[in-house]
Amino acid sequence: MSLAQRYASLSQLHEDPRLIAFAATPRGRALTWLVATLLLAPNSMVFSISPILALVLIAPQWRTQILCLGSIFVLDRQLTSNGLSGTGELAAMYAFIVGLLYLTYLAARSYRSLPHLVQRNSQIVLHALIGALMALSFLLPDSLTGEGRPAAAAIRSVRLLLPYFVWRMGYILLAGRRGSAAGSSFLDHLLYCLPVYGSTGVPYGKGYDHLKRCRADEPLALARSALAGIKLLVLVWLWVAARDALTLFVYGDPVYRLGSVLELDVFHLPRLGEVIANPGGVPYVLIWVSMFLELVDFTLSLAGPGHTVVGCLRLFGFNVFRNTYKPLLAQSIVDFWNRFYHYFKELLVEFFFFPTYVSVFKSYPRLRIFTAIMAAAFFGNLYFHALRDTQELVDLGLGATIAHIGPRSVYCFLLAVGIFFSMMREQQRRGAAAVPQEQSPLRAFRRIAGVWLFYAIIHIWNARPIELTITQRTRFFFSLFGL
Amino acid sequence: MSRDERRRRLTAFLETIRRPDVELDTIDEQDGLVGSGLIDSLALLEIITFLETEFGMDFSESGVDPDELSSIAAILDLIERRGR
Repeated sequence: MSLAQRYASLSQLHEDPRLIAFAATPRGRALTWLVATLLLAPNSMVFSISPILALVLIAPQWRTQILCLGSIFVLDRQLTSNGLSGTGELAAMYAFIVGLLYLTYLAARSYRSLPHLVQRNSQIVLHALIGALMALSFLLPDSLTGEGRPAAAAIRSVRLLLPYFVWRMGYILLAGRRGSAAGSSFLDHLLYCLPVYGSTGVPYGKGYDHLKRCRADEPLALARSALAGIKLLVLVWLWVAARDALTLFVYGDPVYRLGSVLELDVFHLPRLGEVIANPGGVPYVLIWVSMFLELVDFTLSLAGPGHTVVGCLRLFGFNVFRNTYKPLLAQSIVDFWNRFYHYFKELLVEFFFFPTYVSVFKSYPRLRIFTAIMAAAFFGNLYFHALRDTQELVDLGLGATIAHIGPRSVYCFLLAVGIFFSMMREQQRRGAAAVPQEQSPLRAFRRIAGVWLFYAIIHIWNARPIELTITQRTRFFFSLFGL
Repeated sequence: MSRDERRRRLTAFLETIRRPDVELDTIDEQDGLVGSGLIDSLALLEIITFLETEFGMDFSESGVDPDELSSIAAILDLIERRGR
């Protein structure tokens, strides 16, 4: 067997029929649980995932109920990590959050009986309501929102947690609009609103419709999904190790693992943020190296946590697509966008792109696509981050907020323009009349290099620290070309 | 219009947006269009435009559910339910 064949068979272990058959047996399931627990050991999630996974592997038919049991811990962790501890305060917030989700579920279940205007614009109505609640929480006087006040818990939770829940509530309403919520239970939605498998403000695995479609129910399908999950958890170790190596050997920064600090003073490549702040102090070649490695580092920083969440989802029998799938090998800008942060892209597509696309400029195809891309990659992208960081932006004040949003606006605008041209280009390559392109390694390399170049450059306006001004970043960009 | 006639018009359209290296007759009616490699996910937009112009469908009312566009059979079912 050649090296390539060995690699292929190793990387496709979860497709091996004999292994799948073994993983479906009681001993195989026990081994799956043990391996998953060991792989998750360095992650604090292991304490909630491991017992829940054991229960799911024993009684997969009760998966939804078991995962919702885990949701209680998720809500508790979210609330207590926000510094809330009083019994009354916590109880009020449990009731507020679960009540809000339940009301959304009821609205989705009876979607057809909602007023026509609300049905047509349910996402806008949802965001208007959430926005109003958020605004109210900031306008109320301290005498109402202060510690120990009866309303304080609910008001503070509005500010801290609604940006997290609003997209999940959006998916509940999407299920209502598509008619699938009518046959669902509240628990079907609770499991992704309070996901025990972990997540960020972006709902990994999306909502009810997607999870239902990806749900493996047969024993062999369940075993295959769990094996695919194990494979992702193994990849987490690889990507974490790769990022640690980059941090230690290239950036010369310390790495904290298992309570120890690893430090190597071998080489100190400046981070992109440092280069932007002081471009004159860094050799020209190293500036470009720093830009490209920032892209690699950023990708690795996303791949590790994303694989953990998707790996856990697969272990629970939801065989969903990876969040990050080899974006650094993408051969077009739009393909990179699709592979880099899949569930964020899906969020933007479902809540911004499609609604715009089906509503405007139907007689002007290019303008229609351009507007929809701007709605998603520019406006939606900015809106998501502004909503997520509302508390931080209010704390910063108006001037600092504008300074913070400015560079991100440039980043999102350039991203949207790049995606538009890439989409137009891809369109021309389709159809029976199109000539299949020869995929020579050199051609592939050139296309991949072009994608790297584009994303490395636009990342100039997205690099940390946020204190870097739009002027500094733009000046740095021009300095790359000797201007 | 019969299902066969709708299928004929749909497959004629898919011929114009498929990847040049994947033949249409290699996939079944139930196969995923994107999953089978026949089209990329961007081509869904062109399918939406095709359904609007050829079958008078209005997605601004119902929204887009990518599942309903996932295979030839799913698209034909959608046209049957909502087409003109």
